[in-house]
Amino acid sequence: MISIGYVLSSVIAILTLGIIISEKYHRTPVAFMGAMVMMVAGSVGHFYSFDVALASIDLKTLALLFGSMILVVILEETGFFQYVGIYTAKATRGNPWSLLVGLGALTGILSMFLNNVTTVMLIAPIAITVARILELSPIPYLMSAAIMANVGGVGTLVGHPPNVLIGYAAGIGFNNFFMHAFPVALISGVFTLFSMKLIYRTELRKRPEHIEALMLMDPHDAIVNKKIARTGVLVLITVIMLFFLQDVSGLDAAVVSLCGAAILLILVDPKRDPQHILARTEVSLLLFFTSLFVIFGALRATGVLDSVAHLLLNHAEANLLLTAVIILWVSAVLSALIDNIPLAVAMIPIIQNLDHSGVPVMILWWALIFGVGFGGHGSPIGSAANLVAIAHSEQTDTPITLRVWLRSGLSSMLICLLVATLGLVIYGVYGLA
Amino acid sequence: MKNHIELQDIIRPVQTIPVTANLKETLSQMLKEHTNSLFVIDRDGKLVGIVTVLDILKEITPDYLEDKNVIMSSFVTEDMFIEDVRKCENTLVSTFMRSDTPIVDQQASVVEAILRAMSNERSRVAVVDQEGRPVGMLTRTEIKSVLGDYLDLPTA
Repeated sequence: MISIGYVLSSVIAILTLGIIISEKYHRTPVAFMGAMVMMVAGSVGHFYSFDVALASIDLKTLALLFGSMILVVILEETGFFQYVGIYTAKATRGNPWSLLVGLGALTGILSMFLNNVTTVMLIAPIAITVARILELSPIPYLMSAAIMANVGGVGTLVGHPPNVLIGYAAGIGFNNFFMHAFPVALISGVFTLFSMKLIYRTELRKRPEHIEALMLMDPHDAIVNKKIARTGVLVLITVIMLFFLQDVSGLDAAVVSLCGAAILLILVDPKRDPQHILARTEVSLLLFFTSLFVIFGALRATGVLDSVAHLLLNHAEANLLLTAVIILWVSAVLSALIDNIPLAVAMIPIIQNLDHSGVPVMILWWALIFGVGFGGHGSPIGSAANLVAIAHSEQTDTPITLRVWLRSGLSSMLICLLVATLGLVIYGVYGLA
Repeated sequence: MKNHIELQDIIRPVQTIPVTANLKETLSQMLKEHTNSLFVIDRDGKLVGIVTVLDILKEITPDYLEDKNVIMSSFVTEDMFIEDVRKCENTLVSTFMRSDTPIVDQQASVVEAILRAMSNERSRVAVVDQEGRPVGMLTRTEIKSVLGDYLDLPTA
């Protein structure tokens, strides 16, 4: 039945999302305003109360993200990641292909536990500086970092904000997520690196200069605060171990993340107001998430999402695997072009609805995870991490243009999606989802 | 109550650079005039901005070495830095000058000028006439003299 609430909530949501997608304004103030308009309309129109709106906010997701943000803020100031980056670069002895693999793999691994943007922000300066010392073009290494950050981020529950959203909504624990997503991310990563060997064969064939200058770099020079670096790394390793031991400890990933943050704050500077650390967390992103939860909560409350799910229901029941593959490719393409967080937030209740209608949706969840994740490096605007890499490249003699990006970004996305499709087929056929 | 010190007595003379100048010319002027800052003026002599050595340095330094990335500074070679400096020598001063330096009228008090200079982290204030043309600048050097005078310290 189409009520006023149904129409109003749809209009408000479409308008808000449309403005966000147009990227004319920053997504946070727009989403926040949209959420408030929805709440006021909902209260006045009696279709969405404040209590229901509050209940729509997924606090677990916000908690996990917040805890991770604090961990990263403290760690990135210590120079630890730069230490590892320089160490890795030195280990390659300036060999261009080894450097590509080394920095790419490092970025991929870091990105499994830190968010993609931070990882690229940490590794890009190293990639550029090392490339300059060796008198090589930094493009292959910047592209490798940006793409592998994205690929690595797909591998774990905490690697990428949409993963957290989808994982919690689908009831996928850390280990379950890892066992299904990591193999796909790993294989995609390996194929991606080899594809870059082909794409950048000219650049990789150039002989590096001043290798001795690279070998003289001391990674220890990057460490700003040894004590905090050591403490931070220990806490990070413990947090990661506890993520894996979730089934044994019974501790939710969000609790582990927040505990890690609390421990670090106490150990680092307990006498000082942590405002300066908290100020550097991405509260804007958390507000954006919250606003989206409120907006989509209204669409759920008014039955709009039920209608959309209903449209897909027959198709999904008829051929689940095909639906999964379609979700994979469509969400990837959309994710390459628009912000992937609203995309994830939109798709979640739809798949949940299918779940309630008795459709075995696990494979659809994996399809969404891979699609939203791998789509990110399909275009320069697919992910904020891409924009960081591009911005840094513009300060060098070889900026990353659209053409440069598409050469390896788009081809890597296709590779990753093919691997993911194969993964979905295997999971579907063998009932492994 | 008569002001102990008049603003016009202590400000340093106007040292300018046209807005059409480039980085190399700006630096050359700073070296010639033994100053770390210059007023940037338009064709009519009106103040459009101020440029300091720090602004030049910020323009030269690539983003991937700035702020948090200063950790990478241990790994930057002199040759790389010289390359970055030379790359920027033709950049127009309008690109890297600051237009947000505090301004006071030449009739203002010394105290107002000093407090305004402190208000942003640049510790300098431009003194202009009624038409917006610069008549002088108050920098840390002049502020130091004023404070020294208030404490009856010898100021060479």
